[in-house]
Amino acid sequence: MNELESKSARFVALCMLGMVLFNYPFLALFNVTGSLFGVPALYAYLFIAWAALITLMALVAESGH
Amino acid sequence: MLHETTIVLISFLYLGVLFAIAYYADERADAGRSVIASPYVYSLSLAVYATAWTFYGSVGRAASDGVGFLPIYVGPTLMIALWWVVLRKILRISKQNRITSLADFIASRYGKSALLGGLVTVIAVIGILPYISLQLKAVSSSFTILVQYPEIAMPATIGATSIRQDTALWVALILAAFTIAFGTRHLDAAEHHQGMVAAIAFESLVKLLAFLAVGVFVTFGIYNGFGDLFAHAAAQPKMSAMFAPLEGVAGGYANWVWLTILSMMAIMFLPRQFQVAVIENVDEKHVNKAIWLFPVYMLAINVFVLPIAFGGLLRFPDGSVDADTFVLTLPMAEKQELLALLVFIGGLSAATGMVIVGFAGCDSMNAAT
Repeated sequence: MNELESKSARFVALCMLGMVLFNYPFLALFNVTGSLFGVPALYAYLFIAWAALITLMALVAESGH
Repeated sequence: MLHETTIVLISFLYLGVLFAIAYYADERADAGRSVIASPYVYSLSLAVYATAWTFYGSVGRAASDGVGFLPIYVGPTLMIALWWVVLRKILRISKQNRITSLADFIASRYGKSALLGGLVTVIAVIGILPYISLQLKAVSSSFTILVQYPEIAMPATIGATSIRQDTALWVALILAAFTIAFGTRHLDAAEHHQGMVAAIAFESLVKLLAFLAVGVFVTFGIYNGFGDLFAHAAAQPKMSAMFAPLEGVAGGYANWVWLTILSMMAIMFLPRQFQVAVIENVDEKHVNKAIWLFPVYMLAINVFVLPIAFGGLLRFPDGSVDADTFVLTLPMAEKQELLALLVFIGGLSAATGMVIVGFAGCDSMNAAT
């Protein structure tokens, strides 16, 4: 696989990762009334997962320069 | 003091600044030194996705659904992960075929069918009209609320105003003038509406800063950080139910997934998104940075939505204040005049950005078909 193809493949994988992270059953794990770091668990999970996904996207996007 | 005249003057001053930015950017473009040839301006212009619905409405939704509003902003991130493959391809096709609008693009995929292009245009124009009127309504409602300062009264309880005080009408007229001046001039696909894009990017910055300012004020000014705010909210049964909204106040998981898919489509195919992402793109390389900068923008404008919603519910427990106005009414209730004014300008930015690009997108469709 050349570099362009592997970059495309990584982005597709990230999209699929996102679809899994922001779906059942992961959401159900955090859909509880408890708190995580003092904030609602689901709110904390969504923003941490979202930030992590964006970080990975940035790493892939900026790679290969 | 927040006098009516002051608010009107500052609003017109702000719209004047937009004209100035657009004019300057067009002049620079004519001189061959483009200001929009930057991945940062490109990323900010994409944030026209965040309209007055985002600015005022997200908090309103969060006040009943908890994080149920979030798929609308997370979904695009999933689609943007595919941009490196999909958007770059669309960009190449569009540049090759000198595509000037979404209708043009769809028609060209089906053998340059003028009928199909016309149909897409009609659907887009019909679809966008109520959307635009809701943006203008948000401007006039927020204006009506702000001039009552220090009282907090909902527009519905105030009654009718005269035409002279119909802010929506005046704003619509100014925006129409703006779009004619900067959004519709060039019909050649090789040219871009540089002034419009520069102004939209500036508006995106303003609405983000205004929203973050309220968020920081509510979270760290009224309360001592996220933990304190959420601890107060957790003590109320109504709000603690919103901590786990799925299968509850926000509907089931299927609802969440549908919203995600819908917003994935929206970020690609809303006429205004197609306009800024494809038609106004000046360099394919900008996609590289936009892939993560634009999602960062969306994340930033959403972090404080739930805290503001809870802050509002705690501040106005009797339900007399519409949750859609918390962004504005919370600073007003805390006697923060300048912050309230900044919020009004932020809301104005969110609404006008959508209206300008919406108008311009429809205009290029009409011109092309």
